[in-house]
Amino acid sequence: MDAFIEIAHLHKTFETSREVSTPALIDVSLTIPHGDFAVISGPSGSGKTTLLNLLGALDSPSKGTISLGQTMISKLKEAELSPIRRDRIGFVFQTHNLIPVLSARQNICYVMRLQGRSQQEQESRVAELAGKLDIEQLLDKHPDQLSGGQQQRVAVARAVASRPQLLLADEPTASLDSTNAERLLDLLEQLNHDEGVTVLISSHDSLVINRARHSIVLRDGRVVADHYERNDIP
Amino acid sequence: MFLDLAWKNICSQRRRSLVTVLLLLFATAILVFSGAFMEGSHRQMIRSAVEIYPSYLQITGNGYRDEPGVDRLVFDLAALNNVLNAQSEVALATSRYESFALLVSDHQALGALLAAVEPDKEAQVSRLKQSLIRGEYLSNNDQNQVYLGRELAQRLKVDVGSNLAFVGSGADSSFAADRLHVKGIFQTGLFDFDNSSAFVNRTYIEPLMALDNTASHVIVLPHNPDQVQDLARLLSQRLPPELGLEVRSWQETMSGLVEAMTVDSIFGYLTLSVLFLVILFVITIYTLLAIMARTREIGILRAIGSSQRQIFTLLLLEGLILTLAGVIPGGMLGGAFAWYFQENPFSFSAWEEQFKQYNLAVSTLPALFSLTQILRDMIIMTLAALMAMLVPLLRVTRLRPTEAMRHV
Amino acid sequence: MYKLIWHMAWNALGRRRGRSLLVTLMIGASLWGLLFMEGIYDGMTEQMIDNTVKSDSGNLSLFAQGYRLDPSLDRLLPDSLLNQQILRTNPLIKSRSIRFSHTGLLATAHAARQVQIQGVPLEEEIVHAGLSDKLAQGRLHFGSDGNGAILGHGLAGKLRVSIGQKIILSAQDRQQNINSLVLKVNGIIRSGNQPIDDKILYMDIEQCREFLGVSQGFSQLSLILHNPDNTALLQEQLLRELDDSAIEILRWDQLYPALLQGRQVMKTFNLICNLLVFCVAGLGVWGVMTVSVLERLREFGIMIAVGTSFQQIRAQVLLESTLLGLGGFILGAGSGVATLLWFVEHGLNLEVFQEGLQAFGMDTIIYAIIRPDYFTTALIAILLACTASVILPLRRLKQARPVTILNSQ
Repeated sequence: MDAFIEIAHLHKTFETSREVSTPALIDVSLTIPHGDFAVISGPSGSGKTTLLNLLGALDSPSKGTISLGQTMISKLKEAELSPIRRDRIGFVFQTHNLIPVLSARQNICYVMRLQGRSQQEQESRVAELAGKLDIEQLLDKHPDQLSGGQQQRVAVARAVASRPQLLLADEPTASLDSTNAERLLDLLEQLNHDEGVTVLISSHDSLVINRARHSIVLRDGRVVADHYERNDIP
Repeated sequence: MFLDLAWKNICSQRRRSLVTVLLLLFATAILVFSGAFMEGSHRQMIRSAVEIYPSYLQITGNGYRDEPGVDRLVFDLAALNNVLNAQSEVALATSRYESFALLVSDHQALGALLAAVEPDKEAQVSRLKQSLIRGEYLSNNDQNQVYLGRELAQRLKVDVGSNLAFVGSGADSSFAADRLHVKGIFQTGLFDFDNSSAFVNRTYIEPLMALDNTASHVIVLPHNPDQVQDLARLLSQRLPPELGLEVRSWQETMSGLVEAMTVDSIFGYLTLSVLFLVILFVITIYTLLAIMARTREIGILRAIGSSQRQIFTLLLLEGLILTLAGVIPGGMLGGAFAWYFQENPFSFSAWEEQFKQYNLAVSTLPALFSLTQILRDMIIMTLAALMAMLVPLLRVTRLRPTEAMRHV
Repeated sequence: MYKLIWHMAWNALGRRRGRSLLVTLMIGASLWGLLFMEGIYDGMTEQMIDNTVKSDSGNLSLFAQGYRLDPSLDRLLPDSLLNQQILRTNPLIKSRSIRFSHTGLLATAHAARQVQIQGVPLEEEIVHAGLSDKLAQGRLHFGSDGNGAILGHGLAGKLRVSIGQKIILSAQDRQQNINSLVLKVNGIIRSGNQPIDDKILYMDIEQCREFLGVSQGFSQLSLILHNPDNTALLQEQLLRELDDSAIEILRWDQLYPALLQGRQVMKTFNLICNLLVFCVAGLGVWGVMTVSVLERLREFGIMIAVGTSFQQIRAQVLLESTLLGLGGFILGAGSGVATLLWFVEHGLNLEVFQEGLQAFGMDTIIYAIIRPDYFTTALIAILLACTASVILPLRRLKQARPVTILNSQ
């Protein structure tokens, strides 16, 4: 398999005070191949979100390395990380994903605008994704006019609009009912399939875990299981 | 319970509390001190202007002030003195006869005020004697002696011991002229006055100017200068109408200066009001921010049964505590400055020229420490601050509990 | 990109409309107050200077050496001075007038007062001192026999004389004799210059010279320039070209240093007021911007997570505070200009305080002035205050790790 993400001996410790430090991740090593559809599961406090944040270049590890493609992101400075987040990673969070001052369309275009893509390119991409995600009617609404499920769909559209190599989703179904959760997972699978984007989801929702092709289980900051459920990587 | 809750809220929103308190402290200190300084300096200016020569209370013939002339004099000085001597409120009364004459030296002839005074008594009602800079002040026995303003002496090119002549007219409009000998030179600091005034002993000039029993002014020194307006009213009633006299306090004789000081105060407060406007705006803004941050909390308070009025009281109490925490030390600080500068007046020697241009003979200006005024300013500031807090306060207490709770 | 930042900043302000409006209103109202104050105060100061320049000092005045210390009839400028090329044809000079001054005593049947006799060529003086605007009563005329006089308003008031009344002027002539002359009051002027109003008596210059036993010469040549800024330049030119130690050439501010001092005090005062007001206003913007940044941490977190750089967020926040400032500036400058224009045209009528204002040597109607630097100073101050107000919140944002920002509520 062609490794896309290489995590080696990753440690993350939070200094809660001068004397007390809490280890969140302990010696985590993982390999995620291109086009993977992986789910990181585990109980609350197991380190899922911490791992996702590290992968998303939102935080830096205490020890160990993370490579994204050929780039060792754990060694980069904040100013060098912005373009990586912008061009190579897409993010979907649990709630409050969207920028409230922008409409759904503007939210979807946001990263493309940061990248300086042409107006035409932005429009065609929005149209393409809106069709796929069934959000054509919602494009001119603002986040506070959308339901939770609608917001998550727009968030997914924004996350993949710039064609990132990696899509990170942190508990994306936590605030959704089961119908909307299923719909969202269908979408993520479809994007994984159609666009070849590597998807990494953190969740303790069985709906999500059941869809995993690659299942990673964390407990108390350690990887306790790392296996493939199905062998159908595109 | 309210007080306890209010205090906790104030402590939990430290930044808002600090900014509000500091701004109010600053504003109150400025208001108190500016008020004290304006009041003190104006009093000083007026006092020095009043005491240099015009003095606290003047009696003249009817209409003399508006149209000075020999037909509007005090024609029965003796009768007037009899009435004044019988008044317990009157400490001293002295007469003046003012006329304009041409003073002629070997080099120059200048028009000037030539006033006949009773030297000993005059020394007690004005600063004429204190202003002596060379030679001697007049005495009651002087003949042909003149006491000249410094600038006038300079212009005439005379000094102590020089001779000059005057040409003027007497109380009967007759021509009066004589030679004079410069006995002393004075400088009050009031440029116009020093530039155009000369004094002689009344008993000397009486026959020359046919003064007899007349005077242009009688100056009355009250026992208590603060009650000069009451005394003026009293004397107006007690003076026999057949004498044809009018009594004016300095507030009337110096109305121009009094008004000038009022104008100065108005402009001073106008300027301050711009600063206060922005300060009150900032207080409104900070109150709004603080209250908005607590909209949800207020919703919960409403949901568990607090009434609108109780919430309003709680928020108002918080505002009041903050206001007083700023206004009280601010008032004390402003008051301390006022007291300090009352004892150690500002020195404006560099500005003397400018003051002189406005005919103000002062080089130091004190503040006035007045408890009532400080309290007044503090009350004004408290009310203004509470007003500034009222708008956001009313806004949030009007919210329905569910609206408030939805607010994040 | 800039369009996006602009769009987001604008929308962010719109979402918090109440606050934005309050801040804009605060800046607008304080600027309005400041502009009004500056315009009126400067109007007062400039009016006093203008009155003095017109009625007495000119922009430049020429005197015989030593005249100002000892204004005697022996220290006069020669009539021939007026024929000097530089004084006749200099393009900087707008108008000139000669004055023949002396002191005397003015008497009516009832009272007498010291006066400053000013012998002038009336036609020239009317233009030079703008006397037509200053005429309070009667007319500007010395009569066919030249025995008419025009008195200062204060002097006329003190002597209680009215138009048409006879007055007796006495003064010592050059030969030390006391002369008297009967004049008729033809006009009363109110110049706004207190010493002039209280003491001046204008009469025909020829009549005046004859009365004082002088055959030629004058005490002062007053010059008014097209552009007052050239005063020092002309002074230099005159000093160079006339090169006469018998002539003193003085600028208005050398003759009336207190007025210049007054103008400088006013400038400093205005600057301090600006500083104070905008410091406090900056505090208001700071409060709003801090809260506005802190309550949007999650929003900024998302933006960072999807690849927005700190510079872009900084630009947005800075733009938000600048927009607030500019909104306030437009509001304040607009209403300030409108208010000042009204007072430039109609003046602030303070007749109620007539006596008080005259004691300060001021006119009772104060015409405001508008200077471009009011707006540049205010704009710079506002922009500085707005920029300064976001430094702290932005620093807090920068110091936090993206994940901390993202996870804050």
